[in-house]
Amino acid sequence: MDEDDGFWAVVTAEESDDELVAQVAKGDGLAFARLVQRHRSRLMAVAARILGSPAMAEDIVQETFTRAWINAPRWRVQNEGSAAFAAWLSRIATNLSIDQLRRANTVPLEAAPVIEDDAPGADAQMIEAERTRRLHAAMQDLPARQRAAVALTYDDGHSNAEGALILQISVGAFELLLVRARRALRLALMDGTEK
Amino acid sequence: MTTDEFTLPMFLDALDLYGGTIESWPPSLQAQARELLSRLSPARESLDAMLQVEGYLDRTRPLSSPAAGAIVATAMQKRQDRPAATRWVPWTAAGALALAAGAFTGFVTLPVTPQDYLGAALVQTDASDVW
Repeated sequence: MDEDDGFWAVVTAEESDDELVAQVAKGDGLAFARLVQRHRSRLMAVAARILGSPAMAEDIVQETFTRAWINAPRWRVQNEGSAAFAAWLSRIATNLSIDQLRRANTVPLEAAPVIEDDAPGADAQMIEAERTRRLHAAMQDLPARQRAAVALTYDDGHSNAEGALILQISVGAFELLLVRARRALRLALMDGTEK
Repeated sequence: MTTDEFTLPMFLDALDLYGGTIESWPPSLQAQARELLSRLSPARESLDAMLQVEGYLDRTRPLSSPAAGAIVATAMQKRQDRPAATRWVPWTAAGALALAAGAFTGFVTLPVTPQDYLGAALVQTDASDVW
């Protein structure tokens, strides 16, 4: 939990996204803060997964909310629906991350996360570290849209239909991205081949 | 579909489509998948690999994010920082484009050329002939 969660938890009331966006459209900064508090973590997770870099992901989250703040009046007119705003934010963050990844071409590979393994033996820890290293490398090798499909599914909790809507592709195309990504990651642990 | 028809490649396709939690697969596939898992070690190894992939994705999800207050302050500042003139640029450009399009459309759809008008005016200098 971040240092400012205590304060924002107090002001984060039960208003729906739609109600808050309507207030943001009128320039209500507090309503905007509530939306930020509500959605920032999941957007951070999606952007960091796609980019492989939490530092770059922070910029994406900032830009996503800046666009939301600026465009809220226009969004309110064009869109309705309880989940629409959340999906709209996801779409902005995902598209910005994909664009950033393609522009950068080679995003610096950040160190694989340290695994806290409860196993007592050093061997088990080494095996786990090797698995993580392989998966980390395989994740970095995935094309941008496959990474996005993984992020929207595992980090943002979207169904295939919702993920397809966010990426503005068919459900079948989204499933194909996910299948290819899962297969590549799975085979990275199986020495690249099916047994 | 009978159990015998559910092959390893079909299992692997389903594994990559639905993920490692067999309980979340379509009910019609679950029993066949379990039966295959009980018979074939490659199926078990593939399922184990998928579960490790999903465990990795769960473990490596970033838990921290930028402070909400900083995001809000930066967003508000950026909107304030936008030069006033730039807010009018899209509308000005759209207006100019509309005017140009209207003028062009009017010109190309004229029934006669300016020379025709000039000629008609000259002819009408002798308007008394008409009336």
